[in-house]
Amino acid sequence: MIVVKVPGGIKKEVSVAETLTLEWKPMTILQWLGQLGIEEKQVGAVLVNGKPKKMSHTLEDGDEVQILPVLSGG
Amino acid sequence: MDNILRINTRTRTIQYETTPESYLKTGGRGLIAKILLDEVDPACEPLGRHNKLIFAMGLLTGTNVSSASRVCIGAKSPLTQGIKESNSGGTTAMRLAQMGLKAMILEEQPEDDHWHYVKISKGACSLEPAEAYLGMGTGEFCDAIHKLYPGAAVSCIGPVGEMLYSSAGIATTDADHKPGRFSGRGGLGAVMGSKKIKGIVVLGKDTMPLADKEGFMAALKTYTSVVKDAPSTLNYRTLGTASMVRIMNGHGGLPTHNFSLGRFDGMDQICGETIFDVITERGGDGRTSHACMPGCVIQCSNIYPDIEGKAIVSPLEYENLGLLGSNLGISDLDTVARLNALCNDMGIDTIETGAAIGVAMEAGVAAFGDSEAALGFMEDIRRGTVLGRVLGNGAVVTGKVFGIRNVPAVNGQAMPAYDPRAIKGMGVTYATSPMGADHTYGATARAQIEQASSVGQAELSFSTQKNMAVYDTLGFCIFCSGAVGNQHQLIADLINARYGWSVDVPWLKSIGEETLKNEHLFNQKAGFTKAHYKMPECFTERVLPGVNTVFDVGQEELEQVVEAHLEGRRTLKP
Ligand code: SF4
Repeated sequence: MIVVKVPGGIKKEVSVAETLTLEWKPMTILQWLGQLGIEEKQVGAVLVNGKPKKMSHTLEDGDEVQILPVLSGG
Repeated sequence: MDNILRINTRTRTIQYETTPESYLKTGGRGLIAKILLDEVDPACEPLGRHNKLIFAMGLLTGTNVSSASRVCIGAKSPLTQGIKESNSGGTTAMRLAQMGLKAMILEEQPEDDHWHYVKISKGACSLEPAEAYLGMGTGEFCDAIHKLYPGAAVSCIGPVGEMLYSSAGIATTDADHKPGRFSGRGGLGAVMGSKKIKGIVVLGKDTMPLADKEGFMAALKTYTSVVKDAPSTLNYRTLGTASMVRIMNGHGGLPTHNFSLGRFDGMDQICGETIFDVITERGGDGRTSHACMPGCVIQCSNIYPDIEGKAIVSPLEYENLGLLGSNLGISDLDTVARLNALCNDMGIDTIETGAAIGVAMEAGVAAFGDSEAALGFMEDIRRGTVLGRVLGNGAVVTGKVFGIRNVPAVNGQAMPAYDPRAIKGMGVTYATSPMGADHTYGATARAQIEQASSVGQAELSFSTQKNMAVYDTLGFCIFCSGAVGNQHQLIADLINARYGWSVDVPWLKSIGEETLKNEHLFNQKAGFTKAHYKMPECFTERVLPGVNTVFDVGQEELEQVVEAHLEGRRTLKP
């Protein structure tokens, strides 16, 4: 199982934050985002067990994933 | 309390004035616009004696409200010939406010060759001789000052400000007393140099008076927890603005090879995730998160170390990764960090410099990706060779000298790291800002909108510009805006408890609108017409590969944005 926290507004149709528990599969973050219907460019960062990881990172069983929204630069 | 400090750099007289009634309920960028309109002839020459350099404090600056003590600096710009306000983090504004100052105005210019720095403490201000510091970089100057006055807050110029380059900025010390925060844009460093002032040095700390201490503490508690717990805050704290590298590349809007492309092959080497890993591995001075001013709970800044763990630059952030990295075809992070550090030390705007070098590279002065050449240009700029002076006067001058028409600039100022063809709301902001291309004037990149479509972008930019104007007028960091969202009452509560006022959310909105109106009025009086607010042809006629579009928001829509601000309208359409 993996636990994925998705902030509100990242998917157009879901305005509130949700926490999803999903059956683990050996997929990269990018593939998981695709499965969840989230566009990569809507994602500010992905933390896996609290550490930022690249889109090519493969998730492991038991991972806790937090998706963060995009921010404006400076 | 809340005086205006006026320094005449010709007669070297110093005056404390009571803040006029009409200035009391504004601050930061809004106060700068008011003072410029009231005191400076908009048609004046930016480097002449009639221009004034203004430091203005926000309404909550100096208190312990998180991220509310940006230093707002303004003048008529030698780069754009229009109004300019450029704010940064650091400690100067906090200390100036604690010294009882609402604003500081530097006016006139010396008739002799003597340079000074301004020394300010509670109730006292003096001009101290600065000849011994001429030619020093911002780092060396601050070290010398800190030997005399340990812990002083400093805002200063480097050698390029002394040489009056149009892209010279003003550096401000951060919470660790290092001059890494920049009011970089618009050539304000040259305005300071034209008055022969090397720096502002603020000694001492104090607490701010509070009309309703209990109410303030309660409002502060709520505000702090909202900002601390917001998901956007966690992102700022983890990757900082560097997280935008991957996202902009995804949008096809990451400036690459002088804005000829929007996706960079070396993206993976300069993205936020890689920076996080490099900083963590190298350790030493490195920090993945860092506060530029005391009390900031967001802490978006970082410290990037070399292989030995010794700090190269702080912060290393998105605009610089874009302009000094992908825009120059440079994917070596250490080189980008060094270019950034060299810009900071000589006191030049990183965005303008990256854009100018990009134009020179398109002209074939060096190849894209040539790190050695880029580092060599830095040496030219600092030493004041002819090539260095060309580059140091910005992208537009560089384009003219080398006969290049692909110049990413609006009204004389280079674009930050968002290609306006991919992020069209940002394009509207660049074109309609009275300060030239400036992302902080209305950053639209996080909006839920089809970024490359022209539909709705004028409305989006218009409303974002109004929101940003509120934050800038309050002296707040715009990175709070993601956390605060629509809960503006939180800010009104803090202001009311600080001053004993009863302002509300519509009032907050109105101070932003007033700021925008005054800024456009200043430019109108300086000779700007609606036709000045446009996107250059290299973006309206040259297709951006990958996104396959030009900037196609119509000129009428751009003019409508300017008109709406000038008329102080709530809505874009009348
Ligand atoms: S969020 Fe970043 S830029 Fe803003 S005040 Fe905090 S550290 Fe400074």
